Order: sequence, then structure tokens, then C-alpha cells
Amino acid sequence: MTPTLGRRLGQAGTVGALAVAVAAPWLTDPYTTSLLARTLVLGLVGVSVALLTGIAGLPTLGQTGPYAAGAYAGAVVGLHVSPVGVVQVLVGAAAGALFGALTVPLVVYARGVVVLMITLAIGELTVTAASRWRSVTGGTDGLAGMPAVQPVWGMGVLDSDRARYLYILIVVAVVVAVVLTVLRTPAGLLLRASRDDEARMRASGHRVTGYFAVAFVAAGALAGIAGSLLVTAQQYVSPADFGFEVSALLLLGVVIGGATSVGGAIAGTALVLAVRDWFAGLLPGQAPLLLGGLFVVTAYLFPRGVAGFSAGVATLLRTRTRRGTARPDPGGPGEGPVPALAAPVRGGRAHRGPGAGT
Amino acid sequence: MADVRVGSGAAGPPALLTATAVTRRYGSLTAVDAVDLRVVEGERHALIGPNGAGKTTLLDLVGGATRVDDGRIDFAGRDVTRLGPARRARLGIGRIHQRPAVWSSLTVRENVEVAAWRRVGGLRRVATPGRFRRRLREPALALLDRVGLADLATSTAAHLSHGQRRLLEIAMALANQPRLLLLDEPAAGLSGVEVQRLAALLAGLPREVSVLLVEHRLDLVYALADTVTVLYDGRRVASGGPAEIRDSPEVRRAYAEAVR
Repeated sequence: MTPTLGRRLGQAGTVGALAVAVAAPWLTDPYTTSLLARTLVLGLVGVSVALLTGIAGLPTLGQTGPYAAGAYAGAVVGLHVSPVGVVQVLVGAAAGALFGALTVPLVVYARGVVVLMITLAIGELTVTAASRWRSVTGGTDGLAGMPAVQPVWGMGVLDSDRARYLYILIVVAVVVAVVLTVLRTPAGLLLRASRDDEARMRASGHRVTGYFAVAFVAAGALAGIAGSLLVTAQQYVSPADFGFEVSALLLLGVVIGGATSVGGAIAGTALVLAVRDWFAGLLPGQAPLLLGGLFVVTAYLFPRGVAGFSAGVATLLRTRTRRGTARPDPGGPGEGPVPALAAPVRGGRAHRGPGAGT
Repeated sequence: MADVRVGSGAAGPPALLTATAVTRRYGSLTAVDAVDLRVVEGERHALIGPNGAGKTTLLDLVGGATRVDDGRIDFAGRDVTRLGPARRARLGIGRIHQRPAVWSSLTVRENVEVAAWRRVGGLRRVATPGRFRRRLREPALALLDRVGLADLATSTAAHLSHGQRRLLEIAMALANQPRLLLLDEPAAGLSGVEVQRLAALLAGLPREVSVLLVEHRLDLVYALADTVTVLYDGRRVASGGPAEIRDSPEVRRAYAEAVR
């Protein structure tokens, strides 16, 4: 069957990308290396966005919230407590998870576009809080002057862009591997089923709201880890790192990457950042135009995102023919770039308004 | 209203489901208007009536997808009026939807496994996930065999036809080992062969499973049901055995008016 071929292509692509990622700091200059490190960090936030948007079906613009929480927590620990990277990463994860746990009641009862609006508000409030709470965050001046990070106890410090990049690459790779493993367990199955048809999940006795809450907290932890890595990457943190443009770029990257795929989220985020930071050099000042063009091209050529490309045109064709014969499918999987956006009232039908045939 | 109490009734088996004067309004429309309904253990109970009579809404009220505005619902000796659909499902109310609801991105077998999830295990689900999945697999395949989808076990549910989705959802509902099965127009949109398969499947259900069925195909209803309740305009107009209902002038009038 074609999925096997698609999977092989995907695996080959993953191995190739990893090889390039490891070799990159020897192939480029330190400045590019530091940009790549930041790309990895944002790619990890992209994974957390994809987990919610594509896999759980809760489209989010607010993962900058736990991202910021993790970053400031990591920075404060770096300044006052410990230069050890593992400690900072764990504290960042805890801060992101805590942020997720505190905001989860706002999000988990809403669906679709409403989630988008609520998470946008959460993200914006976080930025405002970060610029006002000077005693901890340094306000708009930000926090700087952390001592160089020491990955684990007894190891040397990360004193070059190359070292920082490799450290971040390792942490991101480990975290992504954990995410992929967890998604392969029943947990991933339950999340996808909840996204596909929530009413059916409830009719089978599943506590869907609880599953979404767990996913939201876990996504917060991922973003928090990314936040602590951001501090390692740029040794500086300020509210400008968590603004609306960052949320928007992340969602754009995740949609371009295919929304339902973890690898796609990283690839999409990297692509978006590359277009904004590098190709825009060819047309100075035209970065938004290029991003818009990129989005239109991807939406037309790869309706399932860049990751869906290797997963097979065949699947797409089969889906098309099925749509011709069957009823219009309200909650079909991955037919648009983002299932959750394509069906904003999904799951609401069981609770509101008269049913189709009373 | 009527003095229906749980497990009461001078004669006959105990009630599994008792709905007492349940009402549901949508704005100025009263979709279900003070309806009483009693399903005893093992009964096949059909709800019929013209479009807009409130049949699906009544099923939603029993399943918990919609809350009642008034009235009370008892299931298996406990008041479930305020419980959500997931809770009622765990107590043993299974259902299938008018538009078959399956998880499209999962395989057919995974659909049945996830549907049976809450049946197996408690702590074992977390402690030994591997063995837990294996415990789900065999019964899932057996159920798929029963509904005739065994060959499709590894295909993605998105690729199923309408009729196959319907059969799959029935397998999913059965996977939860319900005591009461709510069926919302199971024959709608099925081909002749599929309807036969469905009829045989429903006729073959063990008597431990009670059935509350909404169906427009009266041949199916009369073949299957022990009791038929007729709804019209949100109210119960008649209730009785199939023969009784078929010959009732009231029922004919209700249908004739709706057709005209």
C-alpha cells in the first residue's frame, strides 16, 4: 500500500534532515548558527501548537503564553539559582505546564474559532504582564547577563554559538522523540478520536474534556521547555520575543507544515522563519508579501501541508472520490489544512440547537 | 403525570428506563412535550411518528446529549437526569447517531477498540497498556465479524461507505456492552442488502440488551418491536403492541395529517 512508501520517504527525509541539522554549525557562520538555534526553539513551540491545533483540534494563538512563562522561569533560574541546563529545562517545563494548568479552564470548554480568540487574548495578556512586571521580568528592557549554561553537572559551559546550537538540537530531538512516542501510545489514539468526533467519544463514555485538559497542560510544558531553550540560545529575553507576530508565524508555520504532523510542524516553522529572515534579504522590506505568497502556494499545492506531501497524493485522491459519493463530512480528517479550523462548530451539535431530525 | 416509579408496576419485568414527563423546548418550539416512556429489561421499543415529532430529541434526552428542561429520567434504578452523556454511556446507555459518527482518522478496528475502552480495565489501562490493547483486540475483531466489516479492520474509517459507517457505529455501540441501545434511524440511507444485514443483526441481539429504536421503515419496526410508541408534535399519542398500533385509527390520522 502507498502509506508504507510514504512512510519510507518520510523516514528518509527525517534522517537526512537530522544529518544536515547536526552538520549545520560546521557548514555555516556563527551568526547563521545562532539563527538556526532560534529556529529549533520556535520549531519546538510549533510542535506544541501542532499538538493542540492539528492533533487535539484546538487551534491556538496562545502558546506564546507558556513559552514566555518557561523563558522567564529559565532566565530567573539561570540568573539566581543554577547555570545547569537540565535544571533550567525542567523548571521551564514546569512553568509552562503550570501556565497551561492555570489557563486550561478558559480554553477547554470552547471549540474552533472561539479557542483561537481566547488563546490570542491569553497570549497578549502574557506579553503585557511580562512588560509590566519589572521586578521579575525586567519589563521591556528584558533580562540579560545570565551566566553561560552548563548542560549537566560537571560539564563545561556552552561558550560558542556552535555549542549552544548542538545542546539545543539534542534537547529538542529528545523532547520531540518523547512526543512522538507518546502519540504512538493509546494517548495519541484518544486525542485523534476526540478531534474526529467528540460527541461519539462521549457516547462511548470517554471524558473528552479531561483529555483536552491533559493535552493542553502537556503542550504548555513543551512550550515552556522551548522558552528555557530560547534563553540559552540568545542569552537574553524580552516581551518582544512573545508578541502577536510570533503567535501568528507559529500558526502559519504549523498550518504550512501540515498541522497534524510533529515533523511537519518543525519543517513548517523553519520554512516560515527562513522565508522571513533569509529570502526576505533578496527583496528587502517585502517579508510579509513573501510569507503571504508562501502560504497561498502551500495551500494550493499541498493541502495537507509539507508533511502530507510524502504521505501520498494517493490518499488525497481516494479522499476526493469518497467525498463524491458520501454525504458532506462535517468532521473529516485532515481534508483542509487545519481540521479544527475547517469545522469550527464541531462537537457543538450534540449540545446546542435542535438536531437535524427531531 | 402518571405514577411511574422505578422498578414499580404491578406486573411484568422491571423498568430499565423510565422517562417521566420529559420536556425539551427550543425557543418557542416544544420539541418534546411532557412525554412518558418506559422501556423494560430486554424490550424492543420503537418510536415512530412523522418528521419533527420529537423522536431524535427524545433519544438525545435519554442519551444525555441534550438536557431536559423538565421531567426526570431514571435508568437502571438511578436518577440520571443531571448526568452527562459520557457518564450515562458508562452506566450502560449506548447509542448510534442518525448520521453515523465514527472516528475517521482511525482504522476500523481502532474505532471499535476506542469505543470499548471504558469497558476494560480501570488501572490496567495505565499500568499495562500493551496487554490492555491486546485485551481489546479480540473482542473488537469478533464484533467486526458480526457486523460484516472484518475484512476492512485495517482500513481507515474515512474510506468507508455510508452503510459501512452505520454498521461500524453499531459495532462501536455494542463494544461498550450497553444495557440499553439507542438506535436513531439505523436503516436510513442503507441499500437493500445492508438493510437485511441490519435487520438480522438487530434480531440477533441478545435479550440482555434492550433497544429503543427510532425508525421510519415500518416493516422493520413491526418485525422487530415488542412495543411501539407513536409521537406526534412532541407528544405521545399512542403506545402498544405492533398489531394494536398498526390498526389504531388515531395513529393513521396522525400520519395522514403529516403526509398531507
